[in-house]
Amino acid sequence: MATNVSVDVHHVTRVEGHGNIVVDVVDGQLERCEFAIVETPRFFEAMLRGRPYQEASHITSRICGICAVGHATTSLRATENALGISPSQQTVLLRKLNFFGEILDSHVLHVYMLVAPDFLGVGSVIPLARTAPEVVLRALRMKKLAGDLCKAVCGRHTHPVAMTVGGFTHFPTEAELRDLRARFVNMRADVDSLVELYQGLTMPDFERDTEFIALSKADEYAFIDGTIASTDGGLWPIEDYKSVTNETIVPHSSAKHTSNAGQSYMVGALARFNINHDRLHPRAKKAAEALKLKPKRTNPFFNTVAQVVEICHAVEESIILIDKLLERGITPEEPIEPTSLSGEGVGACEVPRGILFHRYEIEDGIITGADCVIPTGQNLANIENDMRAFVPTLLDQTEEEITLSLEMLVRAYDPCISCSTHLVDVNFK
Amino acid sequence: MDRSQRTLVLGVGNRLRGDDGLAEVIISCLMAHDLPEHVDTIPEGTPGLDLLLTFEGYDKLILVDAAEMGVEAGSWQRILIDPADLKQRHLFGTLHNAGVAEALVLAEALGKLPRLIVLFGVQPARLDWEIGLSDAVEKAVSQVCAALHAELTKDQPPV
Repeated sequence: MATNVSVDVHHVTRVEGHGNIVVDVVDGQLERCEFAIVETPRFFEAMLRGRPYQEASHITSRICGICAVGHATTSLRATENALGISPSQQTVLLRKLNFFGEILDSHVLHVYMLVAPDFLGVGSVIPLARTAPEVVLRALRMKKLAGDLCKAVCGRHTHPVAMTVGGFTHFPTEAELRDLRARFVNMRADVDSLVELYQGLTMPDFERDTEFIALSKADEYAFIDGTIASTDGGLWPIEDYKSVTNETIVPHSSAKHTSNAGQSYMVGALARFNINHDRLHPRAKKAAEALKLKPKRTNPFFNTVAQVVEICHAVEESIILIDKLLERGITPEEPIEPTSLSGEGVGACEVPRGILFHRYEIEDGIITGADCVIPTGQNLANIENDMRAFVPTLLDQTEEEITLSLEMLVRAYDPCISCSTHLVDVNFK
Repeated sequence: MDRSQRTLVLGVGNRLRGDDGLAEVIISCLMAHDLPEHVDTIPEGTPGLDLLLTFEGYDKLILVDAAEMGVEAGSWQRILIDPADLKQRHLFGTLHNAGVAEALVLAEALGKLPRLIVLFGVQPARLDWEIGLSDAVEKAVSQVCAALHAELTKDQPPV
């Protein structure tokens, strides 16, 4: 058994952005265990101040090239809540459909390209492409459909152009929707193959009970709007998000940590599953059963498995939404105008990596204050607590094996590090 | 559409980034000419792994892109891409910001590369937030356009 272990992974690979794992075990005692975030702060909140409210969704979409739709949607909901706008039913349906495009795109990237290589014993997607080209081609096919969906609904996937406060400035045609529907129906076979692939993978045996937090709605598996819910039993309106997130600064991270009631918590697909599993589409429930994913699952590695289940849910719900839109017919609508040009509002969405909050203060149409709390930031403290519990169970392994296990743990959270580094307070004395 | 006997001219870049928009200008110039029936054109492709699906199945791929070659701005080169070079490349740690090179490396691993890949690379003067090409690159447009046209018209579809 190793009594002295020193792990220093300078930039974990196959995650977005730059984070380091630093672990020191001396005489069998864990002395240091950090997931250090070394990404530069990006000051998006400061950038928003002084800008017209119509620009907020376009500016904040640039926080992330993967969750661009998620940031834009959350931003629009914050602005609409601040200015007294209730979007039309068609807008709500189109936004939900668009959102599934992003969930699919991001989850497919993670489950296939970033995580699967670890379990299939290859270093990256390139050797995987040589040994199992059909797996990689399937992933690319699924990503393409997700991108094409976003393109049809909001102009393009990365940094949507057609989503605006109060509605859309562009609408998909009936022919586009019918084509997408046919492709989603065909994608069911790819989803089945994905579930089969993950049935064959064994997740590391590690459990640590923690609090899971996600948006929740009575009648659907929530992605846009809802109430903040916890597996520990709390329910909060989204306006009270600060009493749940409680951001704090830690010395080794340029991203803030969060805690609810003094404890770290987990957000993301596993949190959503643990809280909202009974509102999944029946096919997604079957996938969860096949993958032995049952609530309340406390093994963080199952976050990736929950993403597989959500891929299944997103495909089925996209078909249902397209059917609803086709039945109603698409009406080119003018965006709904604000009832006031001043106010405060919070928007919350379940983006691929978990719950995202935007809060704006607007005066006479100009943003005077902004706050964005990003999922990866909310997971950082929990990742460290997992590492603290995980390392002592690994001490019979080589340093190399311990390192790989810790990297896999970090990857399971699908961290998007650049997005999480949004503000650092500097005190001059 | 069966791509196996077709050629794709694929421009990559962003017209909002100054000379990064050169491919679009060059391919627009090319499209003003009569092109052989077997040629498809995409003036403004977006880099990323999805590019693989854009060029997959084509017999020949001609890429047009701004290329940092350390030479005078506006200089250009026709470079034949050797698949053996791609085999030795490894993707960087993140796939979140994959570009043209990553798409080619992945296509090689998947056995999905076109039979022939040619890059027309043009040395940019500046890649800043602006619309429009620098004078040096603007001057190269008609030359590269003519070279592309010559390449395509001498190029008969394989039998």
